[in-house]
Amino acid sequence: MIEIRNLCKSFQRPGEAELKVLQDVDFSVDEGEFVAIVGPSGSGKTTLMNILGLLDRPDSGDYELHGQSVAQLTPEERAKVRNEAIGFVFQQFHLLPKTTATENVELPMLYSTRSDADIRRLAREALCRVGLEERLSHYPSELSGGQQQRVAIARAIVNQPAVVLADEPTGNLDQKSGRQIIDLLGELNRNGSTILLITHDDAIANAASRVVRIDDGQLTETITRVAS
Amino acid sequence: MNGKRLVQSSLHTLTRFKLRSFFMSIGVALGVATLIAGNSVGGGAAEKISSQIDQMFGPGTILIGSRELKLPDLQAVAAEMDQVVAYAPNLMLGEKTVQYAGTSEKVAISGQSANGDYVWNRSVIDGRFISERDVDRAERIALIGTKLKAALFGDVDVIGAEVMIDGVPFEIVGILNPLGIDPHGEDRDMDVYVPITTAQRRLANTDIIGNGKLVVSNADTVDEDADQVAAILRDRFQIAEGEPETFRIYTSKFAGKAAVKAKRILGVYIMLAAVVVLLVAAVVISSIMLVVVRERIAEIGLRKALGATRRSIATQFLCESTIVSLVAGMVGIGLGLGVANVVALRFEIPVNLTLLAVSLAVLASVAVGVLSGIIPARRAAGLDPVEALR
Repeated sequence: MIEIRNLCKSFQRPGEAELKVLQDVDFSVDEGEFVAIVGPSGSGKTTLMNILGLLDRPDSGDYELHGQSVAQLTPEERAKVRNEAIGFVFQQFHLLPKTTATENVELPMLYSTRSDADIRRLAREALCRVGLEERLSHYPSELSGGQQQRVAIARAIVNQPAVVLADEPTGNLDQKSGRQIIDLLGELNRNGSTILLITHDDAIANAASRVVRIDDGQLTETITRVAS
Repeated sequence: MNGKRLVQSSLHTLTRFKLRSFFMSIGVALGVATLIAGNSVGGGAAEKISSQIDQMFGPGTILIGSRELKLPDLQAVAAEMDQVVAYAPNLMLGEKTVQYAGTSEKVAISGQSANGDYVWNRSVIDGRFISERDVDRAERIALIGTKLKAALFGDVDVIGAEVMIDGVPFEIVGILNPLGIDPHGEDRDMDVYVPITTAQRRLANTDIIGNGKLVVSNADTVDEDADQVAAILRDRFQIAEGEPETFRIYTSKFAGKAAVKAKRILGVYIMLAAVVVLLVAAVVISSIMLVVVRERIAEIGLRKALGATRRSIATQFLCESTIVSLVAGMVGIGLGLGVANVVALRFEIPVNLTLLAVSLAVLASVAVGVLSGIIPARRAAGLDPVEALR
């Protein structure tokens, strides 16, 4: 499903030496997998996630998503792929304030060609899947951190994307809510969603069926565990 | 995003941040209000001024004003010029006290001749005008305007009633037709007309008439006739060649031109004021929108991550500024009409709102919205989602 080969990305700040963030990264994710990418801050994991999420472009290398090469698409084409094939979960939730949970979940579908009725129905279904059927009309400010992240997860899965990219989804949560979010991601995975979890926390990464370690822009170690 | 969703989403954002939307709309609302109020009152005022000038002058008339002017001067002009078909004096006395029962008003008194109704274009709505006999015998009779009648008498019939003008009793014989406020700001419905001779002998003790009006047979040659009148008066007043005239002459043609010019100047100033306010409004919206873009940088990043293209981000911001401006424009039209009606009521001017002014106002609001949205929309659309989400 995701196939990356020889991926390189470097940044050049004026007056500084070129910084190689990703070097010859080879990486793949199969459909239905739950993969964690673990690394300390500055290891390049966020850059990798941005490239995987088509928010950023690699300097060189191939990126195939669903058999389609997406590394060199135009900004408009990448926007379409993001909309249809990728669901984002961010550390800071990134919910629109003063906008209800349902409206937040509807947001990605506003950029699709779905009908208004479908949009409303799918948003409600997604919120039910994350256990927020009681909070459909609540504003983010009326929800706990864990509930806000659930809304964000509902938004990520509502378009039935090929892969859900979760970047430190527990970073802004207490341990208990964080645990529940990871459990929810595991449950979504068991129901068929492909999940890519990015974290610095080994304990959280252990929830995944495969853990990939990233350090200094290179993938170093893969631990595959039999699903429990 | 399709059009309907775009408008819905813009309205949602605008109602989410009411105070900000309010500040964004003030400028446009005021600009459009200026345009509408100025236009509807200005149009009405110009119309009223022209009709009043028509009333004051009528076609083919010459107005003479001079502190030396006496009735024989007018008679001499009329005798020398065949084209003068009628003439009448108008002696304007300063304010006098007009009293009835316990009520009194200080008003200006005008001395008129028997043909004053025709020459000065003032009719009577009740009773009669001044007669030749009144003038010959310097009768103590008076005609009053509708407002003065209401102020002194209220609703009762006043023909035959007696008022005191500076302590002299006068019989009221007629009510003058209502004219409202003239271009000099005088309320013509407070007028008091008395026979010219009565004004001269009983109220002022003078043989001066001050103002005279001539009606000529051909309205097209009124300016040439005026030159001839000036020559006769120079001769009679013994003004040497090169000396300044001690009289002023206005013709109906001159007044017409002045009215057209006044109307044009008024229109230009109103437009100028509206354009300046709208430009300021555009700058206000634009700068607030730029702050909004910065404030909503995470939202823009998020929308891009969720699949918004540059184009849909740009149209969203353009749509927001346009809707704010358009709604503000609508409010401005209402506001302008309100102001126009208040002003019109105060100055007795007809409100004259043209479809053109309304279309112009709507067009201007849309233009301000689109123009002020361009720079913020471009900035929002150009944001790098990676940077914006950080």
